[in-house]
Parts: sequence; C-alpha cells; structure tokens
Amino acid sequence: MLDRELKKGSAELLILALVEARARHGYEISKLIEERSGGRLKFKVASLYPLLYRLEERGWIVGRWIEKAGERRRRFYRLTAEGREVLAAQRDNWREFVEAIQQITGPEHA
Amino acid sequence: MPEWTREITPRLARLALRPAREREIVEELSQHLDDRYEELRAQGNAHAAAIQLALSELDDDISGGNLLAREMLTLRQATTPAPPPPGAPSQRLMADTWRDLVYAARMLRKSPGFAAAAILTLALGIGANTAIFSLVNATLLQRLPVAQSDRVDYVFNGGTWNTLSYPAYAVLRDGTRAFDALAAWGGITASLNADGDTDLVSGVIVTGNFFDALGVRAVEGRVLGRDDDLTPGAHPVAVISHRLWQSRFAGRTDIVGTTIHLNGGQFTIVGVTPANFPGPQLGIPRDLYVPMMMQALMRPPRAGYSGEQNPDLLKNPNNSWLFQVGRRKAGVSRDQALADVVAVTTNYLRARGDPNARHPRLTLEPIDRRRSGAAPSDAIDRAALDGFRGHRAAHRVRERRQHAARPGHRATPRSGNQAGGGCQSLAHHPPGAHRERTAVIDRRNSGRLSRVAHSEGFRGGTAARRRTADRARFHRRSPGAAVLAGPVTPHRHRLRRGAGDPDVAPGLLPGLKDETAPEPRARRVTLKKALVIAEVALSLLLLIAAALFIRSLQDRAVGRSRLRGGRDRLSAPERQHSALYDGPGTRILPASGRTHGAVAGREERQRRTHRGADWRSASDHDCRRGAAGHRRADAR
Repeated sequence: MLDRELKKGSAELLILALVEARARHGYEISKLIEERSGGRLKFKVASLYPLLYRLEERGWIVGRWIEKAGERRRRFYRLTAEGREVLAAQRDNWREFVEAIQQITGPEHA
Repeated sequence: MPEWTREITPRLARLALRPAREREIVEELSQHLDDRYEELRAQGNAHAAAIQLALSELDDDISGGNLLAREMLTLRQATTPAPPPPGAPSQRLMADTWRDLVYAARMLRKSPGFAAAAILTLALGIGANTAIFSLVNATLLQRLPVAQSDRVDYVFNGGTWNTLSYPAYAVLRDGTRAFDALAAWGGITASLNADGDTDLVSGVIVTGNFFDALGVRAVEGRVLGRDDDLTPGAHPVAVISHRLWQSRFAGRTDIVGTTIHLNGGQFTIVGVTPANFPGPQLGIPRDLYVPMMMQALMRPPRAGYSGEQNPDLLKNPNNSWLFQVGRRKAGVSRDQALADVVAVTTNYLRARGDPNARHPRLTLEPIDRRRSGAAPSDAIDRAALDGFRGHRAAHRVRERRQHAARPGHRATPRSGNQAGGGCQSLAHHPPGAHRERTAVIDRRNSGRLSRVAHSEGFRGGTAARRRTADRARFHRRSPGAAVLAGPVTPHRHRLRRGAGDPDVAPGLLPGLKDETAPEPRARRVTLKKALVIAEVALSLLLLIAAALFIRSLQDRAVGRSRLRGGRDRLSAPERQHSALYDGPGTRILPASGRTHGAVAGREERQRRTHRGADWRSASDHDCRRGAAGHRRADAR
C-alpha cells in the first residue's frame, strides 16, 4: 500500500484521468483505481466521494443522475472543459515531478 | 440487502447539508456500499462480516472516527445553511435577496414570452405612473415658497387664470387699499445670448412690486424692485432662476453684473432667485424675470402673442395679457379685499362706458390653497399647445357657450368619454360658471355669458376664448394627450368648485383647497400615499393580467406540442403506455409488408370503422397525429 500522503496528493489526478474518456460512477472509479494499481491504491468511500464532490464544486467534473434500463439510477461523473485543462496541467506537473524524483533517487552511474 | 441509510445518515448529521442534497449523498453512498457488499459476499464473506467490512469504508482505520464527516466538512455544500422554511423571517437578507434575484432571472429566462410581457407591462406601468404622479405632484401637491402665504392671493379677472390689460392692472394697483402690493406678470419667451451661445428661455415680465408681493428674496444679488419699473425702456436688468444660473452659467460666482443679450438688447443680471422658487405658477418653471417697463423689447407683438396688435401694451386697454398676485394688508380678509377690488373695477368700467360695469366679476384665489399652477389637464395642454393657435375652434367655442347657456346647466363634467375630459372641463368653465369667492353681481341668464365672452379689456374674453378653442382643437387632434388629461380633469374640475358641492369627494377637496381643512399638510400626505398605493396596485393588476394571459398562451402551446406526440415530452406512465402499443405494431407490420400502421383503442377503432377505415389503412397523417387513442409505430 502506498503512503497515505502520497496517495492524497495524486488522488485528484487519478480521478480526473479516469473520467476523461467517459463518464463513470463512484464505485466504478474506485474499482478502476484498485485494479489498475494492482491493489496498491485503494480509496475508501469516506475519502472518494468527498473528493468527487470537491472536484464538482470546483467545476472540474460534473455529476448527473442517469437511469439505465433495469438498473437503479446512478450518479455518473464526467470531465468538464475546465477539468480537462486542469488534468493536462496536472499530468505535466506529475511527469516533471516523477522525472525529478527519478533523477534524484535513481542509481548513480559511474 | 442491508439498509445503509441508517448507518450513513447519522454520520452526515453534523454537516449543514440541504435535505435534498443529503438524500442524494445517502443514495449514492448506499449504492456504493451495496456494490461493495455484493463483492465481499462474492468473495465468500458471511453476511455480517460483509456488512462490517463495507461499513468500515465510512470510518477512519486508525482512530475509528467519522471519516466521512471529517472529509466532507471542508466542502461548501456541507457548510451552507439550509434555507428558511416558507414564511419564516429571513436571517440573511442580502443572501436571500440575491437568491431570489437569481431565481427570478432563471424563471424569466425559462419563459421569455412571459418575461417580455412582464418587463413591458412594468415599463409601461411605471412610466405612466411616474408621468401621472409627477404631474399631480407638480400641480397639486407642491406649494410656492412664498412668505406669509396666507395673505397672498391670485387676483383673476373673472374666472381663474383670466388675464387683464396693463392699464386695468394699473387702475387696480393704484385704486385698491386692501393690498400691500398688487403685482402683475406676463409670460415671455426670450432669446438669451451669452458667452457666444443663444438659447430660448422661458420667463416672465413683471411689475416692480412682483417680488415684494410674493415675499421672495434673491440668493445672489437682488431681486427686481419698484425702482426698476419706472420708465419704459430704461431698465435693462434681469433676474435669473437658480436653475438657469447652474445650467447655463455653471453657477459662476460673478453672475451678478454679468451682461447678457435678451431679444437683441443688452441686459445686466442683478440677481438669482432661490432654487425652490419655480416662478409665479407651479408647473410652469420660469428662468428669467425682466421689468415690465422693458415690454416693448421683451414682449413685442411680433412674438406672436394673440391679440396684441399694438406694440405698446402698457397703454393699450384692449390687450389682456397679465396675471395678478397680491399681498393683502395685515388684518384684511379675503372677502374684504375682494369687495375692494370689485369696487375699483366697477368704477373703472363705468368710466370707460363698459356694459360689464353692472356685473364685474373678479376672483381671489389663495396662493397656498388653490394649486397655483395650471391644473393637470391645463399643464398637459400648455405643454403641447404651442403652434396650435387658430380660428377654426371659434365654432367649438360657440358650441360650448350655447351648452353653458342652457337653463339648469350645471358646471359638472359629462359622464362617459373621459378621453375628452380636458376639453369638457374647459367647456364647463365659461366665465359665468359659479366659483368660490367670486363676486357675481348677476348670474341670471345666458346673455351674461355672451357678454362675458365678448367683453374686452378687463374681461380678457379674447384670450379665454382663444385658449378654449386651442384646447378643443388640440384634444381633437391629439387623442393620446386627451386620454392622459381625461382621468385628471374631473378632479381639477371639482377642485375649482365650491366646498358645498355634493359631487365633491369628501376628504379630497378639503386637503387641496378648502381653507376649512384643519390639517391641510396631513391631508396632502394622505393623498400622496393614496396615489402611491393606487399606482402600485394598478401595476400589480397589470402584471397579474399579463401573467395570466401568457400562461393561457403557454398552455395552448403545450397542448399542441403534446398532441404532436413527441415521445421525449411524454411522462413516464405515458411512455409505458406508448411502449405497450408499439409492441404489436413492431411485430405485425413487417409480417404484413406495410411500413406504417397504428393501433387504435376500441372506441377509436369503432369510430374509424364507422368512417370506413381500419387501423391498417390509417394514413401517415393519422399516424402522425399520435393522439391518446392511437400511437405511431414506425417500422424499424
């Protein structure tokens, strides 16, 4: 399991990236994070949904209740135009950060 | 499935979530826990263990505290207080107002037709109310800032606002002993040239005791005095209004002594009147005051004033053009003053051999009781009457005179046709009409009216006849203004009449005219409030009417659109109903080789059969109608 603070710092980026392609509901987002991280990243309900609501308040994502045939209605979140810009910026920042960390922490070559 | 609501709701209780939002969150989290529970069960966990593990998602692993509430506490939606219930007093006035405004904007955007009607209605209502109230305020509610106004009266030759000639005025001024000062003025429009710019200015030409009679003092320099009214053409001085001083001369401090040109003649400004002094008549603001002795330059015949053929108006007894205002001596009652001026007038008319000497009429109107300015319809008329002079209305005048001369005639506005109210009112005010505090020697018959209308000099008959004729033509040609003047005319008419008249609305007249009113100021305030309330009520009435009208239009539009059968516009039960009918059509039509069809209810079927058609032969048009009895089924 990754460090809690590290997870917190990357949570926004993860959620934005997951709803970039299409709208997803909370449980789906949670499972995708867990699956794609190989079980190393997990979000509890009490952390995931407040984060979704915060991103929604900022206008980066928008949630909408959608009812599908034979299913209960679910709240799907999709990326907004503003959220797309934020996602691009955060991706760049994260890439630079990771590269910097790697350059610092990587094995020194003789 | 476990009941998660009982577990989630208490955890959200400490947050200030709105009830609707809280229900949404509970529903969303419950679904997540349902999915999590099924997942745990699928992994082989027992029911109780699965519930326990799912609920652990809501709490902190380390402290076991309410993690959900802690995480949500920083959200805006968790700290927004719930709106007060309907009817509860507002706790946050500005926030609530803003919310109301936003809501109103959304509703207006949602219904642009209603918004346009509402805005248009409000604009019209506010505009009309403002115009009417401004008019009423200017002509009925305001007072002239006159010192000791209870001693100051207008003195009219005959009926109210009848004029007289300068020689007649001079006789009255010199002969009466009831007044400290009896002044006269006439209206002028002068060409003002100063600093290279030329403007037309509305003013008055006044006698030297004009400002003494009114008790008005200058705020800059001095007002005109008796020394400025001695020799014709020898007093090129002027007093300007505070408004003109500020607007035309930018309030310059050296205004006194400034040289200007009026009608081409050089004048010197000697003073400025107070800001609250509009002139001798309310509703007709005057910006310029020049001495009477400058008449030849300031009011020449070529200026177009009616009936003034002689350039020397100061010596011509046949041109009536002056209004009078007098300040009674202390201790002299209005009745005594009236008797005095009537006596002087009688002697004057006798000396001239005027047949009216037997029946002289003069009117004294208190300046602070009677609305000194023109009555509402008068103001409208005067504002728009320029250029309406002519002789075609003479016929109209004769009609009025004949009507007034009928036996039993009463000066009461005719019912109906309020649009012509202004005209009617004037028609019912011939010089012979009965007035309060009017000395009438002979009221007997119509011959009196005829003589009055034709008398000259002291009678002012020509000017009165011409004004009446002009108003008659104006109302015929300008029905819009007549409509505006109509509603207020009856009130003006009543205001001019005696307090004992049974037609006069109780409570209205005393506050505006009757000197027996104990608290005229309070009455005026009451009238003001009543006007405001009436205007607001009228606006609301118009708004409600517009809303109902738009609503009815919308209902009709919605009814038509639903008949068109758009499935997106159907409610959930209607969609189910539609699907029920679509099923057979989808299955049967391909087998029958047809591309379109409709399923009709039994009653509709019978009706169609009776008409010689069945559902399979229903036309496209019938299918598209999509009425409740039959639904369209496109072949897919």
